Amino acid sequence: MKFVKNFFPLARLTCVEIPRQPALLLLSTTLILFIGCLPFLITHNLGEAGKLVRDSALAMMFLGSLLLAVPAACNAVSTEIRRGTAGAILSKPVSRIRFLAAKFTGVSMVMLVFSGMATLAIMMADRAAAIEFNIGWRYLIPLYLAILCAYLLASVINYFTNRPFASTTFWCMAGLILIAFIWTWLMKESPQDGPAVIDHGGHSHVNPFAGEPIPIRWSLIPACALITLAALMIQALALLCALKLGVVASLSVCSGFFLIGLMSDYLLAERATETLWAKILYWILPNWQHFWMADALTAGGQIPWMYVAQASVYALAWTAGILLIAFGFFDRMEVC
Amino acid sequence: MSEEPVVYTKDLQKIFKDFWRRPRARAVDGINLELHKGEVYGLLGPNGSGKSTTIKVLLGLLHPDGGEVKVLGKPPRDVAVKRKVGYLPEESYLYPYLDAKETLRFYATLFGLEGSMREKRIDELLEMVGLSHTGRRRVGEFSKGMARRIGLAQALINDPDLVILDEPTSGLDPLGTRQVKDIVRALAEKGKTVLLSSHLLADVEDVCERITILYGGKVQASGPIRELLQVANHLQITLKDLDETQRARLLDTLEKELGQRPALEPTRKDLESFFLEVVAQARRESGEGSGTRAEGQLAGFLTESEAEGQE
Repeated sequence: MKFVKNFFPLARLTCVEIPRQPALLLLSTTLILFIGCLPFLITHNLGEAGKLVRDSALAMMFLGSLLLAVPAACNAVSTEIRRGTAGAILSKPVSRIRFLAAKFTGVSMVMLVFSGMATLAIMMADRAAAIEFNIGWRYLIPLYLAILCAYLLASVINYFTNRPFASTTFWCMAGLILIAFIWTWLMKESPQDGPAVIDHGGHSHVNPFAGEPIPIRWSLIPACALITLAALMIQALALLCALKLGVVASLSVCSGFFLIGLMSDYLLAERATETLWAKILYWILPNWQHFWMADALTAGGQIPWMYVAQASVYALAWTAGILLIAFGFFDRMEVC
Repeated sequence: MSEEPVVYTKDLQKIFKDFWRRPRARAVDGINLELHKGEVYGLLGPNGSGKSTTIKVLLGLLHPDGGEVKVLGKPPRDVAVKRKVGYLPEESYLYPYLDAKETLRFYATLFGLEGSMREKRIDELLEMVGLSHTGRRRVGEFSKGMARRIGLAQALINDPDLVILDEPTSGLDPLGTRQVKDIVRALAEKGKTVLLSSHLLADVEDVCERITILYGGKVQASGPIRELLQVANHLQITLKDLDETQRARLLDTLEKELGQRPALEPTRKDLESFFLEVVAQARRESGEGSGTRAEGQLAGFLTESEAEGQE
């Protein structure tokens, strides 16, 4: 109980502080907006827009998790060490392990919210791209409006209550995207929006505002959950880097791991059967392929939750390993 | 003294190393300290003399490279020790988006303080440091002096046995400085031990019983402040209400007895006392405050008896 008593306020404060960084708000808005823009950026390709949108959106979520996790971890740890707030907290009855665990929890909460927003945006974008050569604006406009309203609402709140603009926008955006998703989910056929097919002098196309709603592809949820697990691993690595490095250096290290992890099957799988060093490396390096299920979705397959559970065990074990290294390192570290 | 010292260091050493673990600077070199209960102890020295490094070792933030350190009889990294220590850092390291109450509430929860007792302490401390009227204003918008005040309040939230104050008066106006000094004296009267680091000599002289002067990480002078400041073979006699005739007769007598004519100078107030008198007079006349309302009195919970204060 004592552990929770000062662990929770620290984790909560981290969770509150991180979205207050304007750069994080801009980054998360850009990523969500980009996912939302994918249907009309891709729609006039040579078919398979749905697959391209899904693949690109999932890739964007994966890359976005890396781009967000590193500055978030650096803000939670290296900035606090440099600014002196870490020293001020560690002079209180807070053990170093508890401090770092709380920071990780706080960063994870923010990243979880981002993953949630990205998942909803991906599902809306996927519906918008479901009809070939057409854009389902009825699924995209609520998403754009949610983002716009979040900014407007945060401005009003900031004006009247002096609450920090960046974090208020972040939390408003999370809430409003959820509302927008539920709105599009509950959407029924709307004949008042016109005929389902519009005829332009012999050339006809589907009216994106009318007709039966496109079903939600719920199988995207386990796919996004797997990416969220991968993001958890990246956060742990970013936190370890942030103990000693700044944002740029941490981002470089994490990007290196990201790229090597993507190629680890290609680089090491075969050699791992032959040499010990390759076996060790293959075992230590994160294998992101376990978390990339876009191809399975394209083939029309479902991602079994049992697979997600197994991948969770792998992700949690790897994360725990990295956190143990971070705890050991931070315990000996000097905090000026 | 037979009582175990509150702070004890013997041959304390701290060497800062570079990336390759090569020694770069010897920040602390063989410092011996012994602080006892209820004492106000001053750590003096120019910038870079090792004051803050010593304090950070005492707080367990830096690891000593040699010697022995004990705080309240235990190694400084012991979490149980930190429950009884209050620390005001050199810079007021605060979360800029929290207001004064939220800041104190956050630090209070780190000590496991909850409910009405926590809120009572927060209100009393804000009253003590003169910030009870700041409302929802964020600490990031505070002036340096206000940030020091909230820093002092957070250092006392746990009713500590040992209070470590690093440059507590830096950034404060003379009124604030006086209030902090009054608080330090009051804390000592209540049996708290105060370690005060500063390069504002007048402040240290006013409140400390013993001091250590550091330079280059080494102790240059140490001892009771009265003894260290005593000028050998010089005496001072203070007399009140002498008229011209009496003065002349006194000087003549002393010259005749001692064979030298002593210098006679009127007693002067120090500038701080004069400033405080002027401000107090101005306040009485205008009836307005200067923005902070503290009078240097301790918060209620800090004056309670030890038994009452135990959780």
